[in-house]
Amino acid sequence: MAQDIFEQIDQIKDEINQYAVGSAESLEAFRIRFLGTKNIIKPLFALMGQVEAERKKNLGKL
Amino acid sequence: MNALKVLAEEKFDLSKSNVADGEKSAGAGDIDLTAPAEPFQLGSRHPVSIVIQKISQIFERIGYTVVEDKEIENEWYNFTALNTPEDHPARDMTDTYYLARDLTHMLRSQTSTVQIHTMEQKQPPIRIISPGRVYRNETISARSHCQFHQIEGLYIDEGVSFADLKQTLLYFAKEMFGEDARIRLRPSFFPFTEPSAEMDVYWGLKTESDHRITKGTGWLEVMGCGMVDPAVLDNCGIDSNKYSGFAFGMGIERQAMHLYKINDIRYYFENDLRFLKQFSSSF
Repeated sequence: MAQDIFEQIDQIKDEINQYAVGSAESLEAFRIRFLGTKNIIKPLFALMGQVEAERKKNLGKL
Repeated sequence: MNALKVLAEEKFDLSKSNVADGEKSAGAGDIDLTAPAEPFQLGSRHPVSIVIQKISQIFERIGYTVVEDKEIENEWYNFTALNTPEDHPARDMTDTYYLARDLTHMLRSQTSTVQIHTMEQKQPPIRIISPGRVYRNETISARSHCQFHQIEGLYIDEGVSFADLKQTLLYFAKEMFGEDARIRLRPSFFPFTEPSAEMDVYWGLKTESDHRITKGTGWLEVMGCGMVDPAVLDNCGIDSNKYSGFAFGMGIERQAMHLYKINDIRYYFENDLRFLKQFSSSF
């Protein structure tokens, strides 16, 4: 595993919080990056299978 | 991870409205300040208010004062002081709305109650008119309603005679219906006046609707009137040997119906804007 899934989640969380949306263009960019069909959150769901059973519970809560 | 998605969605929605607001205020600089403003919606006066004002002004010009009073009364003011016998049918619950928690009080069934209050409070000369809402337990139809408006007049002084009453009513008819107005007085009966009369105004019989309004006689019944019964004066502490006076009263809705050709009394209370808007140019 290149990077721990929990770290990736924290990273994306920070990115969302710090993302500056000031115009219609940046809003659209935000939408594509985090909510679009190829958003960066989606691949994390695929990684869920690799997470150890006892950590899976915590993962869902994040 | 779902929380992450929700966080992104919330931020997106918030930013979207912020961006929309920003665009709106950015566009504000483009407003043409010389353009005419949006038209302001003006209300209109209710036909009943218009007629009350018209009648009040007619009497104010000859020295009458407008007096208003409460709508919940006790039996003394609504009936007893007005010389209404204990067994009079108007006192029945089928005719008058009594308060459920206190059967000695009721919604007034006539504005004559104001006369009693005024005569109790001051000595003659008294010259008042009192417009107001009254309530009667009647079936609601095109011609009658359980609530309506009356305007009542009272004049008490030394040496007031029936001739004064007649002249006052003639003056009112001319002001209300035109300089050519003719009136007639028919004998009638009210508990609080003696003698009593009904005043009719000549309306004419030119059209079919004139026939319907005047029941084929050409005369339109406008109000009840009479010389105040000495017993009523005594009830209010006014010396009936020294003072005399007259009283008159009429229904407002009926006057407005004739004035504006309204054929259903229920329109007054339905708050239908299509009806009310028609009076925006009056007065």
